[in-house]
Amino acid sequence: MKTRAKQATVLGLLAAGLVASALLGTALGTVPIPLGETVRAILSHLPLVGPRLQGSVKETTAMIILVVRLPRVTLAALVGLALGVSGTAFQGLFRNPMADPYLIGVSSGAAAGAALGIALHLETTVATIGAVPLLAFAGATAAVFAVYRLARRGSRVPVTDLLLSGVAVGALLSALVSAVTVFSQRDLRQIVFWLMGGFSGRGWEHVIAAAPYILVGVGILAYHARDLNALLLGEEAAEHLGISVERLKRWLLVATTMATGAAVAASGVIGFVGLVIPHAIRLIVGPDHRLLLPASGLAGAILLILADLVARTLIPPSEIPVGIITALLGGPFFIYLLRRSRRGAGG
Amino acid sequence: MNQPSLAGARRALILRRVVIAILSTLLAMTGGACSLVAPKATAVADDAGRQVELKGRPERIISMAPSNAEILFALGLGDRVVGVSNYDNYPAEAGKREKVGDALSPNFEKMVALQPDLVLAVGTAQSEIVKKLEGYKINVFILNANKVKDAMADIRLVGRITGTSGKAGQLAEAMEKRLAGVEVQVASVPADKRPTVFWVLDRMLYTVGPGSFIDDLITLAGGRNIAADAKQDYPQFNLEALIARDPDVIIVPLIDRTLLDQLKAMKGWDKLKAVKTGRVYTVDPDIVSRPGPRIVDGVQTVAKLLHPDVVK
Repeated sequence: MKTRAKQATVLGLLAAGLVASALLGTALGTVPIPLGETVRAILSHLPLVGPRLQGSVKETTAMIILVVRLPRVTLAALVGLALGVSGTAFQGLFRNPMADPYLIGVSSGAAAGAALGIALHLETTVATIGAVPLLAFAGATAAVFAVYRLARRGSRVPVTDLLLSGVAVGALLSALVSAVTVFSQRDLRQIVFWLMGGFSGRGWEHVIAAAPYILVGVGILAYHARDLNALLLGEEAAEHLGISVERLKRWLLVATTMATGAAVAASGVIGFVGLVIPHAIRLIVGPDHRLLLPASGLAGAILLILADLVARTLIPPSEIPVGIITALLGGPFFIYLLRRSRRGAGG
Repeated sequence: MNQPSLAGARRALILRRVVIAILSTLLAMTGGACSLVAPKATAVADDAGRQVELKGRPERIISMAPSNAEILFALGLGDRVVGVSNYDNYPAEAGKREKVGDALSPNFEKMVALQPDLVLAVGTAQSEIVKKLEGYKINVFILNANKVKDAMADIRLVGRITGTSGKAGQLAEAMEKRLAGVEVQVASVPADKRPTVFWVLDRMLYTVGPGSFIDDLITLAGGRNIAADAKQDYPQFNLEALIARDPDVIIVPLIDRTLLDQLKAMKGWDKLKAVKTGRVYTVDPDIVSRPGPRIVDGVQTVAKLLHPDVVK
């Protein structure tokens, strides 16, 4: 085991990086706003100092910073956190470096739910949240539940069966999404947004809707860090250490589904973050989940804030789906992983 | 152990690729291409630069786009139209013809069965489709209007290949006269006094960029498109940029009846100048996006909205 000092150093550095990238993401955008103005805009909406600064900030500036940029940065951080931590947990559970948080139907379920909502033009809203994100979340949850039921063998859920039923259910749902895409070409752009993922047009309402699920899910995963360490030895060995592996699996599935389901519902299917981040961080800090989980979460948050910054500033005044950016960054890394795993290095 | 997850990744990639392919084809409808065939004596060049040989007057025509159907019916060729695309809905009569699917994935069996002697296609995105139809020995003629004024040229072209040149000439001339009238009225407003315009295609804030057909329409109608500096034909506009550029006028073609309500629910929408001053207008998407006989109505409609005291 590494010393606590190293743990503190790594997490401290990542926390500093998160603060820095959040500041960067808030200060930079399509519209150039001086740093001082940005700070004043934020301060003017805080209690105590706020009233004294009222009127010193242009209304449009305040709106761009507080209504457009800050929620985007916050949501990117939350989604990155969810994907980083869930990806780590899945790679631990499946003992496979190729596992990602979408492995067992979350993404295809969410995409199918969203595509249906988009194609049916459902306009009902529940507490300012549209039908589409709600359906996406429901789809993600339902898909994982179906995968779990399919994979169950009596009281056990073998990991291989979980993977295979994940692929089967995923294939079915992807076919559904394709069908919707073919039949409602007018809504193609919105469906594509879900498949590529992005934060354009996301506001505080999305942050408020997703945050509880993501934070609770991540909390549950963090609580099971020691059990994930035991799982590294294999399921049988973990049982001998007194861990109820089947119950652990259920908790991990519930928590990852909550976190990634909410993330996908808020911002679509953003690829590669949950695959690449845990892996890269494992190479740096080693396999101890007590450090690996929080470090991956922080790194995921940093990566997504920066990827979204690129997505909205690369070709102003246009937006690019953030999934393209993460895939461009993650793709080469994925290829490197494949080559490495061919040489017989397991996870 | 890693096979299934790889299959998953591959599946996702394939799905994405398919969707992107469909999307880019849709967006490429305004692109340009050239496939040159050796010119023949009786051949007429279409908008894609193909030399199309014509054997007498076409009697069985298939339209593969709403604008083409509108042109054919306006030239009095309605009774010769035997097939239309799924979106052809004007005049009402056009919608009653045999449907051959949409422009991107037509039903070839049906098209062949209709025994057309002329298929009026659009754009260049259909080149795959065009090749296939050529393989079936079907005469395909491509229309491709990137600018509003191309619509008049296309009407003349259709007149030429269908033996209705006189009628087409009159129609195109009348349109040109009306358009010139609008242009003259708009010209009285100095360039820097013209309203800035944001054209909303959907709730994701997709809009019309430079080089798009509607960007040209906005300019003709005397507006300044705030997305004129974008890099794509149909960019997704950044909300920050929209707030900062704060357009004088917002135009919403009601492709989807709920679009306006969706926009109103957007954070910051009510802070926009155009919203505060009541200058958010809805237009009929069919008259502003189809390079056919009604396009001048579209220009005039938009010009009246932009310059209510100047354009009559």
